[in-house]
Amino acid sequence: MSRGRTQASASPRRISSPARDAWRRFARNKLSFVGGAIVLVILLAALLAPHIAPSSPVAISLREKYRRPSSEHWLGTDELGRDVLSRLIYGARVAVGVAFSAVLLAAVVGSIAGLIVSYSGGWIDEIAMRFLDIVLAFPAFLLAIVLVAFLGPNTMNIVLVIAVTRLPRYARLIRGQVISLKETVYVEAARAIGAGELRIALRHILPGCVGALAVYVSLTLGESILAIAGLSFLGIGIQPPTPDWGVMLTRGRDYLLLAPWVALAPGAAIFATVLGFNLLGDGLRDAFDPRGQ
Amino acid sequence: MAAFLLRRFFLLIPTALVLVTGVFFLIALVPGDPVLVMLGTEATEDAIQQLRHDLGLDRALFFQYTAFLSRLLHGDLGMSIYHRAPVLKLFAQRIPNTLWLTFLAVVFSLLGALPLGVLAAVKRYSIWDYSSLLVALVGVSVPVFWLGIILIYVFGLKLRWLPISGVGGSLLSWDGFKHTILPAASLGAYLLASSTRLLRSSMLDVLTEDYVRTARAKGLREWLVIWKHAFRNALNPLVTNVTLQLGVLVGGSFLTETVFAWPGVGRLLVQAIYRRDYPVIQGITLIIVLMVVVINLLADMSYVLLDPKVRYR
Repeated sequence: MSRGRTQASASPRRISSPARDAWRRFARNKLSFVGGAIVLVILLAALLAPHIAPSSPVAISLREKYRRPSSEHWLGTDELGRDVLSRLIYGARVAVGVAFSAVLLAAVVGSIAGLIVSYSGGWIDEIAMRFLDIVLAFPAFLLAIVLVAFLGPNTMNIVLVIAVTRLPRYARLIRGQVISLKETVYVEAARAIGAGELRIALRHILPGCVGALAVYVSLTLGESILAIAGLSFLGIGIQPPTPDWGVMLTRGRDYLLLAPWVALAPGAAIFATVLGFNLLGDGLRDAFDPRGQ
Repeated sequence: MAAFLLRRFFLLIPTALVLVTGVFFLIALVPGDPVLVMLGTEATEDAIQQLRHDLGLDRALFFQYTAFLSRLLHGDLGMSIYHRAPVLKLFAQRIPNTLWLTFLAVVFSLLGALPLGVLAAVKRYSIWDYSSLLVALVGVSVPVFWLGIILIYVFGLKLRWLPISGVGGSLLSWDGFKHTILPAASLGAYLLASSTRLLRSSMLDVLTEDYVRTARAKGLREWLVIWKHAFRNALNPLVTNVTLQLGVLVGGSFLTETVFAWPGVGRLLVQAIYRRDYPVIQGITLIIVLMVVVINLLADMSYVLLDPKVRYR
């Protein structure tokens, strides 16, 4: 221990940096790693689905329906004899694909809106913020359900609707970040040596938002996966025969007593994925926001 | 303080206006002709014209909008196409079920959160503390409909202890209560998780306060210190939490009511979506959001009025 400390003071590379401090705070909570591992597994399943799925997610085999979990079908088969594990693995593609697209859209558009609003200031800022307050008063899931009800359920609309319901919070987050970063000493210093506003925005303020943004992306990914699965469960989300976890769960509910694994397995997948993103998000919050918690 | 309350109150007007305008324009999102979508392909030309006229869709957009506003001001939320009844009446029939379910969900969550949150803080790093962490982690991540299905499978189908769908007679009867247990437990899970976590951290804060040390110093028994001095002061954030999670509760009630075939407002809305009964969707959305906004306003007002430590500009 003492040797480590003398080294630390002797070698300039060991001097604490913001990145190193962030990593230390992230690593202090072991659950962050559990979250990271779960997310990694889900991402790998989504990426490598065709290579690791034991059989096709859509191949119907009526002679093999309602098979119990066995060495042949690890998680059994459903009402059409489709392999549940394969559908689960392909389902990761759908969940991750839809949730990532939606959150990416919300984060990019929301951040740009937040940046513009905070830079324009004055009455534009005031009106935009009052409007956001109003929109944020709407329960997000209600808004999603109602928008899908009128737009019609298809994957494109689901991405759009989930993005729209998350977007206002990104705008508000970035606005808050920008306003507090504008007052920091290093931005003042950059301004003092004659840096332009655009350069300051891109080189100094934007990187300052990355931490908060990462925390938020992780937490909203979990939330979005829950919302997408909820829409599918209600029958107004992703449509069958797409191997979507929410769709699988709804169908499995109809023969719960006969083949409980068909409904329980996709629910467990949703739960694990959301848990993973939440744990990762908590870890990132510890890392990037030392004041919180 | 009065200025704050007044400003908060007058913010209701633009909020309601944005809400009403948004709900009005929802119908414009429908791809194609909404009347054809609602009536299906087998409708007669007369029926189509009739519904178009009833909904005012044959008039210019501006007049549709003003007519919509004036109808709302007269307390008319429109007519259901499927039920052929006023939306307000359908809502009134089902809202008691939803409120009762939500109320019991809140009660269940507090019954779990109060002892667990306090024990976790008082006996830190004990088994209680770790179980509170587990409850908090599971509760916020578990899909409410999956939890409902597990409860149905275990307590309804396997053990056969509890009914799994519907309301079963009067809400206040023993049978009615048995029908509410599983749905309320599912719906309350998220609130249980967030309340437990919150109570634990606010108890930990309060336990380090000077007045707690004073209470111990004058020789008060430990349970009295915890109960009278710490717990009561740690309760405030919990009340806030229930109103903060109102949106989650509303969203959760749609799913819970669907899983348990619970005849509430959420089920009404979801079925209206299946039937493309657009006036019902619009009317119900309007009332629910308005209720959420007003409850939040009342909650904000109550802090200002009840807690002398809270001061708003």
